[in-house]
Amino acid sequence: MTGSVFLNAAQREAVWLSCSVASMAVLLSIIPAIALAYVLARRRFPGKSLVELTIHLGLVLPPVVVGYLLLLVLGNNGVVGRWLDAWFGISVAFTWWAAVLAAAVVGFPLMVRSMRLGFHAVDPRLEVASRSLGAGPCRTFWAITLPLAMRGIISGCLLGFARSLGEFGATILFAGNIEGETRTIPLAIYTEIQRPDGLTAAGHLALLSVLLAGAALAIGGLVEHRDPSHAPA
Amino acid sequence: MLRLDVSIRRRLTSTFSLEVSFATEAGVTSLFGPSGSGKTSILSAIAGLLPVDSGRIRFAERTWLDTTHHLVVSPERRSVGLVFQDDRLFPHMTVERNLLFGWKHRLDSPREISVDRVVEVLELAPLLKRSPNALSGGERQRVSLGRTLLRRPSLLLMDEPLAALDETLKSKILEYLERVLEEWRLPTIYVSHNQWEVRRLAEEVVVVDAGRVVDMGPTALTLSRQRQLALEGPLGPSNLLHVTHLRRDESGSWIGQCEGQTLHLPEPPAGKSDVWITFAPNTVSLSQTVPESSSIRNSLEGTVDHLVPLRDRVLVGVDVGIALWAEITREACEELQLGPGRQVRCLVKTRSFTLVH
Repeated sequence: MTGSVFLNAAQREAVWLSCSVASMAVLLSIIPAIALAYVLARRRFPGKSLVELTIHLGLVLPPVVVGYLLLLVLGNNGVVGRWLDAWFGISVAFTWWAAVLAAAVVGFPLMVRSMRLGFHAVDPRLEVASRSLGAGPCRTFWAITLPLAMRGIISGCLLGFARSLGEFGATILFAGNIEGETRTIPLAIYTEIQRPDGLTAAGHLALLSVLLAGAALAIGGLVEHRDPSHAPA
Repeated sequence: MLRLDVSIRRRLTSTFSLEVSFATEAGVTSLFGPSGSGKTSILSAIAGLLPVDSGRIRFAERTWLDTTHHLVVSPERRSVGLVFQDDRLFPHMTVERNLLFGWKHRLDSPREISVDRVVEVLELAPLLKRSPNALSGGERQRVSLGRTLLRRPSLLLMDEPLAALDETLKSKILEYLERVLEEWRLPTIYVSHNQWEVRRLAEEVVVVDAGRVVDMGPTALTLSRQRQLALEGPLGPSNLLHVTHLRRDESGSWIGQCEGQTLHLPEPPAGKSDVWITFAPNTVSLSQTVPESSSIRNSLEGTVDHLVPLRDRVLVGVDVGIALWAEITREACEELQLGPGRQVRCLVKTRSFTLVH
């Protein structure tokens, strides 16, 4: 082993990749997830149950199926992918961005679910009070609804992050297993296992991913137990 | 005073619809009626928080709603301040930030409402840096009231602000409410189902029942016309008078003025120049003349407004400048030949008075 007694360069690359892919996946999802969670928690609209069904489906569908669907849509011969390639010369599949997309799509329903609970816990009467005090719908959202739903939003992001770290099925199908580009920790573990002497290295990586996911959930737990009403003003 | 004009229709459920129309120029107008009569819905419609099916709302030359011209001013653009039954403080902000939430620096407010003065009148200074969660119920309601005032509204809407408080707190907050109304003289719509609060605060009453306005007018007279209320109200019929100009007479006993007539009182709390007194209708005797010699010290002159027959007794509503109830026997009523328009004297012993603070 070179560089580190614990991880070699390729493994460190995998850890870094996992973190960067998961972070970007959460960053990409955060605004649409907040918007969708808010709308689901507060509005009634035609087709709402269809949207809910789709989100629940995302939670239970095998990630491999999600990867397959992504390929179908965004693959180089996919419905959208073909046009992206022809018009802009962009090819998403089997790149770092593909890994991000796969992680984002799989983590999205979890994020929405948790954020929706967060919005649901905000007393709508406080929003009415805000309107009656001269705040428009925008200011009411930013000053009242969002801060009070913050616990749900933060824990949604952490859940999405943790889920993205563990993404395997959709990633390997849609992004492949390219070292230094899409080989995140789960894929690196899989690759190590394939080698005759890779069990120890896989073990190190497995331990590391337990620690990473544990840390994300621990932070989430801290946020969860903090009373929002005592948040600094 | 500024005029509020409301005329709205709104179907709330398949069996209940709101259809009200009233106008008022009084300082404090009460929307009065049993719970579920639609009072709060009317208030929400004025504030713009409840959409209506059709109608018009105008306040002080400004139109807030006119469905025939498809005009609906959004709640934040109507210059109203709402005081809720629950205080609705924002739990993630300090008291100070709650107070300043509705404050806008450039505002052509007709009344000078300053932060310092609101903090002073409502005694909020020691609370400013605290979290709403660390406040008592009474303190929360005061902060909520201050927050509404600091929006600098031109019309104050109060939705049973005392209903959620216990009795001791109620009288304290009532005192603060009176201070606020006295200090800024904002036109106020006060929703309540409690006749005591209404009598104490409101100049005019709009009586609402089952989504309709059933009566309106000056407070005491209008309330006295509510027979249902007189018979079924939680406290039964009661008399509440505001007595001012308290002083001792030559013999050292306390006297005060009520509607231009003199009353003898039990000793009031030190330093007060006015008090409210209550007494039950069955402590009031009626007479055609002032008895030559009598132990009864108080005699109020008035006109019979109407009679409400009870089982073996009669409730007589007498207009003595404000309305007063007397409960007498049927025989007495017949003997005195009482009827609307008849001049009578209401005799009450000083001992029957209870002072309310």
